[in-house]
Amino acid sequence: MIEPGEYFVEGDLAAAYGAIKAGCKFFAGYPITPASEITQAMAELLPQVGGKFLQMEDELASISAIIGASWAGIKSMTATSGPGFSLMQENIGYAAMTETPIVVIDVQRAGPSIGQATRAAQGDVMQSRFGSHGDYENIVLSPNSVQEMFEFTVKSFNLAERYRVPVILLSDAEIGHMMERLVVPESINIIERKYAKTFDEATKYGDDLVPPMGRFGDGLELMVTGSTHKPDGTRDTGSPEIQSSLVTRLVEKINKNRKDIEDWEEMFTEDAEILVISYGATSRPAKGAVIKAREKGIKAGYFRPKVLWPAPENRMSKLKNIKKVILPEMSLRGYSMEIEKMFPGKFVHFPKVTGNVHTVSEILKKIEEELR
Amino acid sequence: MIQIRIGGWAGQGVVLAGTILSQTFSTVLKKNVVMTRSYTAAVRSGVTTSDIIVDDDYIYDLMITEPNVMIIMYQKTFDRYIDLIKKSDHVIIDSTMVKNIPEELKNIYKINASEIAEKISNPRISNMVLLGAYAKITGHIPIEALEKSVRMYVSKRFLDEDIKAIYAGYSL
Amino acid sequence: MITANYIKNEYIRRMPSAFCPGCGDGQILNAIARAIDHLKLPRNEIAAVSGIGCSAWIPSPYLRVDSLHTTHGRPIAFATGLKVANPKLKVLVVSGDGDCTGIGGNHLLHAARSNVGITVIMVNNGVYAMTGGQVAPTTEHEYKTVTTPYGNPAFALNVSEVVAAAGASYVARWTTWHMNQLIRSIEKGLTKKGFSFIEVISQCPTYEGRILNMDHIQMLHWFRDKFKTDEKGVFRIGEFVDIEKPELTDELQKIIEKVRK
Ligand code: SF4
Repeated sequence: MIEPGEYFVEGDLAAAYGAIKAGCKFFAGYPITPASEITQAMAELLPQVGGKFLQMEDELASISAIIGASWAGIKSMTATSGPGFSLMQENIGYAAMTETPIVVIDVQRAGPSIGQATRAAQGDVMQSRFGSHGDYENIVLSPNSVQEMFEFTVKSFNLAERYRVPVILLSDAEIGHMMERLVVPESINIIERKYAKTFDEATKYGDDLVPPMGRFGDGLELMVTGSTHKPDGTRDTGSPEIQSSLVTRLVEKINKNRKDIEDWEEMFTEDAEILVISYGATSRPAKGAVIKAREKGIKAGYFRPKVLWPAPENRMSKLKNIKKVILPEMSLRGYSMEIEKMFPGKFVHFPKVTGNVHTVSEILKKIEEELR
Repeated sequence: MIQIRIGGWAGQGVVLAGTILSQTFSTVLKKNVVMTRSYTAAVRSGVTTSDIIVDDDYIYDLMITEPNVMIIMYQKTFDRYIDLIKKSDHVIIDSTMVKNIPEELKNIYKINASEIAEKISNPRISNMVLLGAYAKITGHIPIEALEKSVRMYVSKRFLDEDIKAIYAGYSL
Repeated sequence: MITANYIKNEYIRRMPSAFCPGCGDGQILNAIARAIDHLKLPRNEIAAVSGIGCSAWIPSPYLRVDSLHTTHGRPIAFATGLKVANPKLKVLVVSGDGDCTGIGGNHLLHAARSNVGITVIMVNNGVYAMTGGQVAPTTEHEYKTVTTPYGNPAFALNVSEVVAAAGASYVARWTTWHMNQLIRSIEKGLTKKGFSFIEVISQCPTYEGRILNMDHIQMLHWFRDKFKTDEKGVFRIGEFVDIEKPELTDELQKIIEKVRK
């Protein structure tokens, strides 16, 4: 199944391939443009590897089902777009609270509301991180090619299993529906879940703050709840200490491991005076524009978070000499709060909300304008 | 760099033609290729396009800016993209479907693709006729490479007629 | 001998009860424990899933099995994923009438339709109890609640009938007065291959009692007198459906076998 080698496929299909290679054995989803191709591919592929696919009655059910399946010890995923992603938010918080590894792919489309189903946008960046109520941390990845749709899906599973968090693969209609070469490598690094063998083990964690996970059916008599709970799972909805220690740990287990999770790509940053920060589909023309600017003798740099959340703040804070930072993105707010926070007084927002990606020449022109 | 837009109406096989052509460049000829598509959510109506960018280098621009080739299969699509058509080096049209063409345009290749397709088997393979014509007109790809891509992608049932169609387009 | 103490030690977590005095939820917990005991099911083969509401607390934390206490309205969807991921598990959902038919009604219909082999016990006390006695989809016409202070303008849903029509393999309705029948039905539900649904009319002396102006004993007597196998509508009790038909996880397994041949 999905032999190593070269393929010419669209991003959505590459994500499904990645999921299968990562060992995903359960997918529950609901049709929505532009993510249905992932759902359809999983329906076809999963039985071939002994996995199971369910088309559920809605997105609420889809995310519920994958969390349930994850507790049975099965790697599970769903895929959706804006409207469905909004419906899933409550249970993304539930997965964070119960420390359930799941992968959710959001192939972003133009919103708000129903918007333009087939057009790309990057308006879900804040939602992907802050969409559920209360304090929690999760991990969000942003691919910019068909190859990365594959690779980052595998990585999403690895991070979900490693840190017991919901991981969001935040793609967009451009990358999801784009066809490009995909090379499936011979060997793929897969991280497997650490299981607790006793009830006691499931209640304790080490320096990484991630307790081993119990599995339903193993006789541990687990108590899993989305209510505030003690380390052993007993509900405690009154104690200030329990609430504080639980929520702090859920946030800290990501913060503490940031070094391992954060991921970015940079070019010409050493002496750059003007920096283009970009992610997802937009990062392609952004990089092209920076290369063109350098050819013209402009001291431009390129910086691209591959993991949007947690943001590579430590690295960004060390980028010196920068006089201006341009953020081109397909959203009027997108990632701007985060980037403006990192570069106060230097930040230039360059949104485009036509449903089309920026072009190299548009970004190059912006770089030149900002230099003047 | 080569930029190609295939434009038509939903149901005309625009995306299929785009996929087969892209694959010819990518898998058969080992070029870097990005294909994007645009369509409305309704499956059976609306302007549909496949945009193909081919390069020896990594592809940064995901949008077609200066098309080298426009392959147009429907009048409404022709009208919508008239500005790009004027800029394009080559414009290949299905003259069965697109009849209203401003006289000043000199870069147009008129191929009665739907008629030819109907003679072979079915007007629905007009997209294949146009791909064959594209290979001949532009010289971007050897017809054998196109044939290889068709064989990789198309199911057995339609293979014979599709191969016939690309060669029919090529020999015009 | 199966004593009350034995059942308690074997199946029920030692914790102070959070239910109000006289609440039917404790009886239902007991009925579930006894059904499991009669069937001699190993506890590690049972998983309990519940949502939000007083009755969600019946299995979580009190039942000594793996338990997943989920978001409001969604336990059936969580349970479906759990069951499909590990078909060997007996997956038991305990859900209140609001959880099961209000916010989560869609999942109930589709679980019955797909005939996924889980057992749903719906505790029906006719109000939203945990949040303070608001009107529910199961509240009778003209009843006064805190959100229908002038009487319920809508009508009560006959849940069992709906679930039967949606395609469940097993459907029964009892009240907390009919404990032996209830235990029997839970046993049947847990051994049934397909989707089984057991509605239990239960007393909520705190809120429902206030509406009806009864204490829990009076309510139980009212159940005894009002709910009959030959009654009509929502007052009819008994087994409504008991059939065999292909079950979802079996069907999925068949697909895998067909595809991999
Ligand atoms: S409020 Fe009603 S249902 Fe809830 S515990 Fe009290 S009596 Fe039982």
